[in-house]
Amino acid sequence: MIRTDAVFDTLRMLQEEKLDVRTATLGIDLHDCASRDAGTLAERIRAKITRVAGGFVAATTRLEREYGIPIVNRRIAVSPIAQVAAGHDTRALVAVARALDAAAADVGVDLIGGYGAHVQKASTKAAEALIESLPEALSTTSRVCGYVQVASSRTGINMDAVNLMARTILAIAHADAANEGFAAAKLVVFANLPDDNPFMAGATHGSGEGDATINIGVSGPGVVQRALERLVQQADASAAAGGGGGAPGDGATLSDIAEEIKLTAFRITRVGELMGRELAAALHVPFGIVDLSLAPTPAVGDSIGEILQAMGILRIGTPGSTAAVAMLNDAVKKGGAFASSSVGGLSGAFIPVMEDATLAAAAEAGWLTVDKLEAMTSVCSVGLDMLPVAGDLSPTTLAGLMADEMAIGMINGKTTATRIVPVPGKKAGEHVSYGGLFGASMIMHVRENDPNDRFAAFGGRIPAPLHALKN
Amino acid sequence: MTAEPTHLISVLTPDHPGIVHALVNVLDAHGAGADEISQTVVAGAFTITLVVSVPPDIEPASLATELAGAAGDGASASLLPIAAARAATGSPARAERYLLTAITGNDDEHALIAITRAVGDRRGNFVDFASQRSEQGLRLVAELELAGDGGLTDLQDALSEIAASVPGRTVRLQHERLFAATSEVAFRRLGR
Repeated sequence: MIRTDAVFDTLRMLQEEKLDVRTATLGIDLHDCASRDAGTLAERIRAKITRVAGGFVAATTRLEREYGIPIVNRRIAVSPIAQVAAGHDTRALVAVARALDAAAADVGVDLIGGYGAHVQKASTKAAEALIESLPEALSTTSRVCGYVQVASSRTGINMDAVNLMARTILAIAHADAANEGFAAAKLVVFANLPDDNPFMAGATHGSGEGDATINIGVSGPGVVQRALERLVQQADASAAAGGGGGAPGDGATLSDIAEEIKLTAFRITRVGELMGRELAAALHVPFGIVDLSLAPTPAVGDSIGEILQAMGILRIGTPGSTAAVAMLNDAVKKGGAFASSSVGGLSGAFIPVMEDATLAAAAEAGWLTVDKLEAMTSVCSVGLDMLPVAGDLSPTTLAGLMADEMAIGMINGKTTATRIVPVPGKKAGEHVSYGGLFGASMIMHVRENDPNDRFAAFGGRIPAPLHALKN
Repeated sequence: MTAEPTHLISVLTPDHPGIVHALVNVLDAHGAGADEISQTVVAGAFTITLVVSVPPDIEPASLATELAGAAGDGASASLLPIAAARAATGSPARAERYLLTAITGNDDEHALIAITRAVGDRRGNFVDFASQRSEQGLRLVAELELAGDGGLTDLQDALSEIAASVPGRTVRLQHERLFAATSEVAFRRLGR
């Protein structure tokens, strides 16, 4: 019999602290759908997805019931579409996007990822067509998510692609001006994208992933936050009872906090792996990975910002924030790696401004700036995520912002990304709200480049760093 | 080589140190092995169940009486042949194990009977049961077996109704693997 206190600890995590499986993502290989005929290609893609994923939602619902754990999102990730649709033009690519959208609707998932291209060194014609199709593909579909990899530690940064993506992101946002540029929130630009990322908008089913696989994104910011609050309160009470008269927090050290995060991450990860393996068995596909990323939502009690506050950073973005995020993410990885031998995906802390109410409030207060967010991404997190900017931000500035983020990923040998959302017709300091998990925030202030800046405009490629020469 | 177990012997006695040793000593003296022991203390009373292989030349009832005597004043013992226990188990062939948990307020007197009735009506078989009533109310953790033929949903629905019928009641039934996953490894924080 499992210890009663351990049972009630688990129940508390589920009932009071919002422990859930943030995403169950079914990866599907689509390379066998290739066809020279655009109509046949789209038909094959829709047919394969509906066949492979036909029982996906029902299986997740059964598991939710049996285990009493919410699975918040069911998603599908497919092979990079620029590879599957090689040889086709922009019009055909848009038709593929619509087929993906329809297939996702057929099987009952809210988002489908993989409408993407890898151009970190150079572009194929198919990749160029896909990028050109993004404004129409993302603004005329509701479920399709896209990505473009423009950099890697092995290849350097393709600055021509960065410049192209800056113009493309602005075009996507303006194509969806009626929805305040929301379509741009469905696109991620990456350095070092892993092949098994289960989280949207950058989920994909990369090379070497097999015919189909189940990847899991765990969550649990609320669980970590509450565990830290209990630890500090108990330590404070213990210190006070000891008559030391110390200041609050004297009873706990950062080492204690790191240990508590590890313990909590262990339990969260075990839940994720259990659910992933059960779901994979139900669908008769291999289990892939657990992504350890702590993924916040706009709900109170489900926030990375609140974890940082529990760690003693009351004004997120002020000095100390970068160190706190570094320690948080490292401890999560240590606990998660002990819990599972199948850790993968992004496995970094997400700090999406719009999707985390506490981060959004810190931005509103002026403590959390774009520069500080960028610094935080250098030590642990995945990138500038769900960052709303003014709709008239110049392409030069947007390209520079992306280049900076890609450079952090390239030099540090880690994944970095940008999901920047220009909001048409709005300026920094105004507000935007997309509702649901996408949240709301003040539009962030970005210092504009000089119009004559030539750095990004030189184009070409920022060469790979010396440490790319590993062989 | 261990002999096949033949009997279950339960002993109930006021708790005090040395009981387990006294019982094992009696078994050893008679060449009877204890294959499995489950012991707990509830409200100051020591209770133990032993799965015992009683040699053919020993009278099981007299062994039980001797065990009760060794356990101290006020002790009692009861005896059940293994064959009878196994025949009555009635566990479904394809059973899955679930954990039933319940929390109630302190003025909720009827939760236990409602929950156990719902489980019994649906042929759920408790295999481990622990509940405690305190000033805060009832806290119950029970492990039960349930046939893997769709009985889960029906029982979960019944338990949800039981929970919803009284404010402050929480009753959940979840697969036991969830709790095993979160509890299998217990970290121990080292001292500073």
